[in-house]
Amino acid sequence: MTQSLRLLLKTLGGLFLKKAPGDEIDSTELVTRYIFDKKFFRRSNNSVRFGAFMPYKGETSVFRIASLANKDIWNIGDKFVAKPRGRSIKSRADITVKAIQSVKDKELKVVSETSTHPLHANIVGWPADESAQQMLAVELANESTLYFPNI
Amino acid sequence: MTTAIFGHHNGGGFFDRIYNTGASQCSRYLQEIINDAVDHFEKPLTLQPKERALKTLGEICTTCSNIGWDGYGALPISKEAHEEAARFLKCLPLDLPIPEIVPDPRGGVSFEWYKSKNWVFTVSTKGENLLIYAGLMGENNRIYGTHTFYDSIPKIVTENIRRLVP
Repeated sequence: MTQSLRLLLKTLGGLFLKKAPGDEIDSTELVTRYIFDKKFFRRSNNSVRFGAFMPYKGETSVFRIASLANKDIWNIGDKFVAKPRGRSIKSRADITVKAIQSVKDKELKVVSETSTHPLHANIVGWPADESAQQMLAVELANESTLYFPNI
Repeated sequence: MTTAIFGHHNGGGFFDRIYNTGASQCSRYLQEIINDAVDHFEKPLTLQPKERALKTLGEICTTCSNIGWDGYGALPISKEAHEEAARFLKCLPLDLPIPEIVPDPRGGVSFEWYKSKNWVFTVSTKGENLLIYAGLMGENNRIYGTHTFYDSIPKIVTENIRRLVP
């Protein structure tokens, strides 16, 4: 019983990581970007295009998935990202926080933003220059791994 | 009649005709047929992929004409961006491969030449007479910048595309 309770607490602890909004996330964590447009990935070799990571208003919305099982990653995406938009997820791009922090001049970082979900985060620190932004997005796409939902 | 149209007296071939001196309805009709044949002949086969690309561009611009088309608040592709992207495709030298056309969440159109991981070159247009380019030319070898664009594609762009061509 105690063991079960401990396991439950551990799982919940993983789901509701104690990170205040704006807190930087540990570099060992994995985050995912849900993709709604088929043009943002290449079916030929299952890789991601830069458009998937381009920021909106200086931020790229991602979810922290280190503590989640594959099924839960898709469930969160469906429930908290796709459904409110009336869209269906076509794929997702997983990338480590370390890879995000390492691209180009190490400008980007991942910060917690929990207003919509405890595991929601944003990639911030995008430069104002549009070609530099594009360069970073190209690198993020290059470093990420593409996954498809099991339909 | 044929002689009058082709004027082969100057030693030239089919395309060296000078003008049609015939005045009859039949002669004018023949001139039209020849014009069509010459147009068809002069149209290189390599233009066909460009025409397909222009069609794809039109479809993408229609699909991405509403705000948030990417699910995250992307700007709609403007008419100016569409026209500029079409101009870019038309200006693309025939020896370069036709790129993949991708909508850009900034309200523009992107072109992508992809070879393999770490080898990709992208160019974006937003209808502002600018080309925004960024690419990976091997591991840790980045190239990016912005260049004005009117009626010819800057050398820095064509050179980088050529680096990805086998």
